[in-house]
Amino acid sequence: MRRTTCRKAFSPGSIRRWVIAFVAVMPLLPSAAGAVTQSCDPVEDSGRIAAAGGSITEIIYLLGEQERLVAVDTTSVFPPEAMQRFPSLGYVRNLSAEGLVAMSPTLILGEEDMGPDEVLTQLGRLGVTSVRLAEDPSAAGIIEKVRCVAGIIGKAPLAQAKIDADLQSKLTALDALPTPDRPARVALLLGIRDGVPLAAGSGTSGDGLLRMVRAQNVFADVSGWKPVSMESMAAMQPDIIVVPNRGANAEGGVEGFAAHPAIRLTPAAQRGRIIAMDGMAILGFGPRTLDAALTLSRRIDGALNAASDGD
Amino acid sequence: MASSIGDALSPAVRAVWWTPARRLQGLWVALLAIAAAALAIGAVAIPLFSLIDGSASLLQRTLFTEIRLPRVLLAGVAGAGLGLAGAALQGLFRNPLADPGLIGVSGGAAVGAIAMIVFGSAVALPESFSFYAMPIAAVTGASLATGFLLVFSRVFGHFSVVTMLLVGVALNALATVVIGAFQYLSDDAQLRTLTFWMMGSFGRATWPALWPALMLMVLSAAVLLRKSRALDLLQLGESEARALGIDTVRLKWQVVLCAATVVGAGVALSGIVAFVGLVVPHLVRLFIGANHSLVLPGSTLLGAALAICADLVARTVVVPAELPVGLVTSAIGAPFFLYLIARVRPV
Amino acid sequence: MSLAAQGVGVVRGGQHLLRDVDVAVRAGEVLAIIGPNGAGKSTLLSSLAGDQAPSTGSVTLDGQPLGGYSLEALARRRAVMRQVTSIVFDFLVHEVLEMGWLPDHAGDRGVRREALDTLVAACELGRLLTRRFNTLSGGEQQRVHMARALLQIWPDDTLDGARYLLLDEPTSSLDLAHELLLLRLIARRAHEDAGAVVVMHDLNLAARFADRILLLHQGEVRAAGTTDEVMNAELLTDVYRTPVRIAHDDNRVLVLT
Repeated sequence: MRRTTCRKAFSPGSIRRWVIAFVAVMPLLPSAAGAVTQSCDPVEDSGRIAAAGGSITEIIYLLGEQERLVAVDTTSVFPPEAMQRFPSLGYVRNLSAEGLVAMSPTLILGEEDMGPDEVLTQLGRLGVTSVRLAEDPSAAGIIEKVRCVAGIIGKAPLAQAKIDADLQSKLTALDALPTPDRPARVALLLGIRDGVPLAAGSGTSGDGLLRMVRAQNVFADVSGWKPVSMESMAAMQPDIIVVPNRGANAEGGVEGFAAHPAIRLTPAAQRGRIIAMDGMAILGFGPRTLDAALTLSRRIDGALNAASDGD
Repeated sequence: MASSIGDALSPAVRAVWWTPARRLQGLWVALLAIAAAALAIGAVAIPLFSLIDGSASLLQRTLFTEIRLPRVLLAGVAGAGLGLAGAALQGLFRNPLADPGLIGVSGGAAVGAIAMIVFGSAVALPESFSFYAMPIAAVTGASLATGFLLVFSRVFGHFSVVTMLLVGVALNALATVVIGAFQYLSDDAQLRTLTFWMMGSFGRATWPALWPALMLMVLSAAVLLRKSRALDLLQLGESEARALGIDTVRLKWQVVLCAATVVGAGVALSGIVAFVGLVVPHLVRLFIGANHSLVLPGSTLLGAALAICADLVARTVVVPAELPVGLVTSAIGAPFFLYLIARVRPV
Repeated sequence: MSLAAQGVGVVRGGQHLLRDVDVAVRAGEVLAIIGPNGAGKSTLLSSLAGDQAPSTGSVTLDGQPLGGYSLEALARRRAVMRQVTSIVFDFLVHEVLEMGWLPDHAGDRGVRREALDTLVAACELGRLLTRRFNTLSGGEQQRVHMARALLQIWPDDTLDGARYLLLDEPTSSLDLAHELLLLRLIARRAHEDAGAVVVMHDLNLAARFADRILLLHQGEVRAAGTTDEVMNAELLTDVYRTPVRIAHDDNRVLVLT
């Protein structure tokens, strides 16, 4: 009896009816047009800008155009004034369409990971232009981003002046860093999550930073931010570990971080070569990441030399 | 159906009996009021009458039709679906703690949807089909989970409720493993999308994405709402329900598949919105009645009202940013769940 | 016109629960099934109800195997009441009672109302109707289920064929007065136009209310027939492994231990 009743429930007739009903309505449905552009050309109106990304806020301040800002996201920690002065859009991946509209921006300027896409689509329908900036985690990429933001808001000459006055020299200094025969083996960790370190693999901003300072990323073989096991931490033998202040502080500072079971077996921990720095400065890839990279480069050299003196 | 309850008995008894139907009507009124409030309130003020008398600006008009209306509608139908599926599954399992999450339905839907987030970009889909991809993937995931349930119960040769719940526990564990693996495979941006998706939000509602899910949900909900008498009889026991003419095997399949569709289509658009399916049917039973001709429509209405309300909170407390709506429902639901565990004896 | 088992055997997990049982109940009579614990009484009732198909033999309703009827059609022909199981959710008593009303019953609202009023009065449920079913005592719950079963087979002129009541110890939790009330109700309904099969524990009540008695022992029919034929001291002493005497008082058979 069971068999016959099951067959009745899934009879071809009833399934066919569903499919027909479904397919019949499909073509009637509208489809969305893409509203997000990715170009550095000036936009029509950049009078009121919502900045979704710390580096963008930083660049707008660098250009002295902060009066145009109407809101910033939670990664816009530099300069500190930005977050106090402007309403927060929340996390860059979790923007609110209506919240944005309420700020009546004419332009939403975001990093590559701004989203969700559906929200940007909704905003496009309200006539708000969104521009997504290409991500290139390198020194040249930072300069390019400054040019691009300035281009979009119609301040290209000003940007060139800033670059000539300040940024270009830092870029040159970074380019001038020697490429050692045996580069330092460095692990960049975001912190320790659920007892497991989260490491920067290839394609991440962390990897880009290590390239800028001519260090060898020990986790270059994995892609993206990946949790790594204690054993592979020990096996990779990083000479130096770079960690954002926040990641180190979560473990009770650099000493606490070095004592964590996943970290303490590495040469870096045993020789006290753990470098903690401002996370948004090193990983935000705004103009000050150029300074941070130069600082990191000096601290890596310092750590290696101090250690070799001690040997 | 509801209006006919008790109409056949003596007048004294009937005087008490019309109240459940009235309370159901009250729920309708409450839902409409909450929906109207949710449509009027937001980061941008849109007085509803300004839309009617034409004094609203073009921006207000567009914002209303393109953002707020689909958002409130999605919150409403997703919440209604969760409430209805929760009520039907609780009835089916005769267990007040049953929840679409419990038997692996939400887990299966999440696996399907996450697979689409992580691998969807690798598969070149025609533009017109892309809006169907998420709901179809989620419904497929949810249906696969329930299909697995069928195969397993066939192997046992017996389709008992206990078997179902235990297989559900195993399915959820499996879903967790698969989601974990997907998280490992996903790149940085996908991972962050995933994290927020899993917390749930109604903010991604756009008309083209809404229609396919809406159709699936309405069709399945219509089937579920017609099962009130069968679910009532099932409370007497499976043999008793069969003796009263209910094909219980078929009933189980219809309820499980339709609940999977209702939940899956909602999960695809809004992510995981926890606890609505658990809290809502319980409240309806408490304040309206246990009869499924009340519980099913009641949970549909209250689920919609609760989700719209939670979304209203989520999008207005930290303007211009917003909270994940799953946080709001969990903040309400988790303590309620503990209260239920303490109050309900294990079944 | 009967509900009949022919050569029914039930095997579950290698155990013979029933072996080669022949029994038939006709409209207008009460058939009591008696026997010690584990004799297969409930299994036989389940087989007659069509709830579990027998391993061997067949069960027929009006000469047609039960498998040939749809569940809906069977529901209109026979009502089943088993030992009371709990209900998880807080249903009201009237809601449980009304579960017995089949949607395809030909009667209109008036008929349904009359049926409910009659049964509520007959089972003395008037004061319980708006209470929660779960707060009722076991005996009160049995009365509700009894009324529900009787509602399920409420006379319907558009339906051919007799109706049957299959009851598994319907009065196990009832006090004396209500036990007699319900058994009289069952007998009266049976004598109108329905056949009743009642699994009973109390031999005296079986002797008093049954038209025929089936004595099961270890899954087999040990005796079947009228009260006088089955209520035999030697037979019962043997089956129940307890000395049993039979006495007669006012035309009633009394079983004494």
